[in-house]
Amino acid sequence: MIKIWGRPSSLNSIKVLWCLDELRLDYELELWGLGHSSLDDPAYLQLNPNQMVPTIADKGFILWESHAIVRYLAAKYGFDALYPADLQVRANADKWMEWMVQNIKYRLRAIFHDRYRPGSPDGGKKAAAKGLEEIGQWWDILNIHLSGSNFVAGDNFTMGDIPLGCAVYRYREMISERPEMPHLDAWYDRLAARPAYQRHVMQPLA
Amino acid sequence: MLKILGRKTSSNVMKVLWLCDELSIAYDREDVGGPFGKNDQADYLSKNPNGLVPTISDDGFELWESNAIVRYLAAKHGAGSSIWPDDPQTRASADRWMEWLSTTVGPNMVLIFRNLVRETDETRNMDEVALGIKNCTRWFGVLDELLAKNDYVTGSDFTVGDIPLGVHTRRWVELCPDQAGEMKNVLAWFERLKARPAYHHCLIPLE
Repeated sequence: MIKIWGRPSSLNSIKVLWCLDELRLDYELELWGLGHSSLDDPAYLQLNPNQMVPTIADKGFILWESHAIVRYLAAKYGFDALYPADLQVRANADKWMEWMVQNIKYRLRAIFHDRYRPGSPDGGKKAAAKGLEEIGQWWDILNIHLSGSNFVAGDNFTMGDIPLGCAVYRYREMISERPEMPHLDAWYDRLAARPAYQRHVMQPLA
Repeated sequence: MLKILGRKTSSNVMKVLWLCDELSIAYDREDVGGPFGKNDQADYLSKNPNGLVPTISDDGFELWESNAIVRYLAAKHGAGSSIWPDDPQTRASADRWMEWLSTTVGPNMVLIFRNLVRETDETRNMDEVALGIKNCTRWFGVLDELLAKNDYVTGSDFTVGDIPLGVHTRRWVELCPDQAGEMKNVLAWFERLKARPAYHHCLIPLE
């Protein structure tokens, strides 16, 4: 059984929980981080010196960094499905995971922290306003890409859809006035039909 | 022949050039981005809608995002090399250090690098530099502890996990010598990287 230290309110934990569920893996979630046990506890620090969640253990193998965890689980338990066997399809899935970190994540986080984490050292209202101003044109890059495929890496759902799938739910929940992006909306509808997405991603923001 | 689009002064292009040389992958590079421009033109945007470098073209297969490019080329050319570990756990560990750079050091090194190297006296924001240095000191401290027990980030062998970190560590050592000077294990690992011929891409003048 995979063990995961994290919390269902953490975007990075949600990526891993969703992935575990898509792979139909049994897991045990131990609640750590904001609102739960503190990450500077020596018991946690010896697992993850960065004081962040999530961390997993797979038969004693400890791993942190949510995207590395998703790629590891997908490669080990979802080869040729969540983790494409074809190197080019896999690279396409991988690039959209990277793209989420480089272009969406910090803008979304600024908006999220302004609303849900007052007092966090993220730049407050100014950063949130800048993030909101810029994020629409980045989502539109994905929107245009999705005019040509059902999921980010082609016809099938892969690990590439996971980080962006988590982000798009959060974006839609927080921002009701959004630019017209019909292909992004259609992709979101496909994700929203997945029970694992409903269970882990489509939850109230906190 | 693999085609790499991107100026050699970009940290993200350096990762790809370094990896190619480590695995003896032949390539052709074209200067794009920065003073060379072209990344805002339709031809480039049709390959990479983000207008950023690098982009590769591998027999017609186009790919962007430097870490994804490194993992793709390593998977394609690195079978049997310790650089792309066979063992899933060692490979995940290497992958984890590539991610760690993006989430910890990366966004903070940008604050230092952009202000000290690219901005002028009028536009430089020293508050950003101070924040970047404070956060990088914390994160490189984590790396320094790890490297007390390991020659490279995953253990005794150089892997892709050392590449993004290796690119930025040169910048850390050069731009923040006082803070970097306290980190003996990071400095020792940096010397190991400098001994690798392929690392020369990361040692060109900063601009």
